[in-house]
Amino acid sequence: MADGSEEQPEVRKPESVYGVGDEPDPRFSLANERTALAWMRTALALVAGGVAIVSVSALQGLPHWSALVGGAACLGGALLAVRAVTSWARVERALRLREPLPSPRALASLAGGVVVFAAVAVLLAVLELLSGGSS
Amino acid sequence: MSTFPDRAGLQPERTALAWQRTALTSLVIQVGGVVLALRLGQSVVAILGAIIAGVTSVTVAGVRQRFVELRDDERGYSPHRHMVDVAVATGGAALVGGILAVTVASR
Repeated sequence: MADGSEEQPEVRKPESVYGVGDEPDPRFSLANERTALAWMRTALALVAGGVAIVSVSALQGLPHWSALVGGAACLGGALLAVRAVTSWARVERALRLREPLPSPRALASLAGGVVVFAAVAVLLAVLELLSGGSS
Repeated sequence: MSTFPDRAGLQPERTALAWQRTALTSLVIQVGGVVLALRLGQSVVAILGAIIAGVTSVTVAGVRQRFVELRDDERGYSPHRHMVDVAVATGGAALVGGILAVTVASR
């Protein structure tokens, strides 16, 4: 402008993140963004796995419970997608405030969920095998 | 030569490609859900999935905007809206998968 004043910067949302602290190194912000996207793809992989299990269950005449295992994977994927967004916001806020980064709690949840998921799948498969063998 | 001289390590390119991978994965999964719904004769779920797939296509197109933002070193940006869009698309795919799972299990 003629008077030398700078343009009004755009208001970035969410304000709970961008309304605090100072601008961090762009590399850190971009790394945080890519990490969130990696979580999002993990969530998508869970949903894809769930849909695949449901497909196999429906089209190959597998026991009905196997479809519920797929449904649980879909639900886990949806929850993880929400978590990816909230984790991104928490980390970005910490970066702006020059605070220690929050611990990746979703990682422990995901690992625990996968172990439980695998254990349930194995248990149900063994039960199905035993019931099939006895008939 | 990088078009982003102020940012080492090809950061914007890597981030843009991460967006592209995520958005395309999201779209592919939606298509899988719709095909499965059609195979199961669940036309209502298939229509729901098709609508969500359409919305996801808009999201994929919207990722282009993120590319533009990443090329602009001067302007502040926020990936939040795009991220929420992808999360909603993921939730939609999960919803379709969940409905199909209940449908198959209750047969």
